Amino acid sequence: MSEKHGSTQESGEPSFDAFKPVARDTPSSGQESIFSTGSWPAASIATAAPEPSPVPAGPAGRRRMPRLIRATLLLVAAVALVAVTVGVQWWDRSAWIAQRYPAEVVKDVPRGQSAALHGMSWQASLAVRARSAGDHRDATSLIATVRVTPISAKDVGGYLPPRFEARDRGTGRRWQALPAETPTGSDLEPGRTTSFIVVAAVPNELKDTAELVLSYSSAETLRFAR
Amino acid sequence: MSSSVLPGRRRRRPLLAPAAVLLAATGLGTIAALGGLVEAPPQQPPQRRVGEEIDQDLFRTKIEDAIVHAVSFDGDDPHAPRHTVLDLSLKIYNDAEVSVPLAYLENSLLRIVSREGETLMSPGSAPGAGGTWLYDTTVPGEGAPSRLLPPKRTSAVTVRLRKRSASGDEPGAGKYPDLVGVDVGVYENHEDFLTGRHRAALVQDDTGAPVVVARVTVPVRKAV
Amino acid sequence: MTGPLVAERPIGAPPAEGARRGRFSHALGNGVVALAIGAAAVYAHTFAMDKDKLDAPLTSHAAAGGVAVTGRFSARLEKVVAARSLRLLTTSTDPETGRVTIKKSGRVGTQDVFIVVTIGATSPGDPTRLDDAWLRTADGVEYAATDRVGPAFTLPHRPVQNGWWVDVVFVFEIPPEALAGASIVVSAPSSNGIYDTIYPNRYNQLLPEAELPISADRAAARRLLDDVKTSWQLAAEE
Repeated sequence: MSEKHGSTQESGEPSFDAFKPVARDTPSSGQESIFSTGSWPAASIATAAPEPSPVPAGPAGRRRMPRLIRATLLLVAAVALVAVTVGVQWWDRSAWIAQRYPAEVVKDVPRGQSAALHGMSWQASLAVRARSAGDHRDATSLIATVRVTPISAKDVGGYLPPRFEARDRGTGRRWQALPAETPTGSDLEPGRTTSFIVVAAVPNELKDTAELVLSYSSAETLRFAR
Repeated sequence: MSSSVLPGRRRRRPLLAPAAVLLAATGLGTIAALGGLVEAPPQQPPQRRVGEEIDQDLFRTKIEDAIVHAVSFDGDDPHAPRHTVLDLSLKIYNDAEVSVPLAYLENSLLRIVSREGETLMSPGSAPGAGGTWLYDTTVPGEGAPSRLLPPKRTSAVTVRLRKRSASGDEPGAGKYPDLVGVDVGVYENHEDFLTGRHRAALVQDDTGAPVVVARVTVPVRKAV
Repeated sequence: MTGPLVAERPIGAPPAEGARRGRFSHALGNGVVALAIGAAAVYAHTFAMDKDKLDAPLTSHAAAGGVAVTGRFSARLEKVVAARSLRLLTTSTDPETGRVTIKKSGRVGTQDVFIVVTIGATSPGDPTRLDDAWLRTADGVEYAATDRVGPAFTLPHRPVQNGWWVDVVFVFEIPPEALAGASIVVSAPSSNGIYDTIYPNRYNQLLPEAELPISADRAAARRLLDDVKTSWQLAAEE
């Protein structure tokens, strides 16, 4: 049908026929199947590219070679865009977490010495409590004697009891340490030392190495060496 | 509309607009004359009788009884002093999938008032001015009461109201009301605007006050 | 690359009928595919979880008698006892002689049954607590641990720490028929410090919880109920 249609118009003004073979770089219309005609060259891209015909192959060749590069670039761009999209959110969240949970700054206090924190001078010594009937088989109680000396009268007014915990320096594991009785602001006097007891339980194997840690916040932490 | 341009016909006078205006004015006048523009009286919450079931969404509630009697707060000691209290008995079916603390029920009993208008209990408002009534809500049990409503079950709940006099001595039963009105609120599955999660919350009206879904009038028996 | 070839056809000329039909069926095919993808995308939205589900606790399951491991604690069921009533003893130990004297005794009864559960727990890192416990029945109803037994008798706030196992007791009051297929669910509290007090429940997403089956099967649950104790004793040290 298309053949007939095409033949009727061959003498007149040229019109498009999708089924008419392309004359320029294909041999003849008779060897074309209807599936390989129209606006698509019958020859494969790979074989058509190096053809010497300068007019059509010139621009086509210029475009076909970068095709692979273009696809690669597109892929790289897509991956980069995804990476940036995820990365920006990752970075933003990390910044938020870092701000909310700041890294801990631990100040080590050598054995027997004292350190100042929150207007108080702190000193602590740790001892292993003898096993008693109520103790857990795998845990040992540690008794810490904490001595606090207010530096000035102003600091006594602003005194808040700190938090205590026992820590293993090697693994960073922690255990709850509870003060037996904490002095309040009215118990403190500038220059006078008040002592109180803090009790913690740690695994048996760490009873000689676990350390007492005193903290107000992650940036205000004292670790008393044993 | 294109008829006016047809040849041989007279141009019509605009009639529709004046007619509509006249009709609207007449209608509005009629409504105004019949009192339709007067503000409607505030809608009264539905009155319920004792023993009728009230759907609170979270709970299905029946107010069963109210009694004024003397009880001892220490059940073990027979010589313990006895105190006059008003006990309101309720049957609560907890429709949630989990145990619900009794505070949810307490908060949904929006207001308990006497016939004289004295507020006996009002969990939503801060205690203060009135403040002469104490209340405690429990699920009585053998040995110890509970303050939890088990899920998908009916529990017998007691709301215990006790009058506290200014001088500190025990007011007699005569000071207790003969009739109390209980305003009951209703829960909804409320979406938290920040977390997007759901929890039971009392339904509120436009002013932010909890909606009263039922008003129960309970006669008080005196057994002193 | 098709530029010079297409130029064969002058603009405005009608395409051949066969080509038009071919293009139409092609467009129809594309349309159907697009519609199918769109429908699939819309349907996929029905799988989206709501916030309640997104923030729901992460449950670690254990076989009956096994250990459930969460990121913040491990828990196992040590002992389960069914009882009709509980005897609550407050004792006092003389530090000198070690003699135990009973200071106070009480009894708590029920129409249903008390399930006294002992849970052993340890922590892989920081100390935590097993504050909340529920008994989750086979049909998903959750009974909170009863408040009729004081915390002095069950020690629910006992710290769960690294290096050893501690026992925590929970008492549930449930109808006997709810026991078959039920499990105990324990969870650790949110650990966001001050932020939990600023806006409670705002930051407690994806809390760890351990689900520990009470009994391996229905027969084991029935055995537990057949062995119901008339009275079970819980002691508290003064």
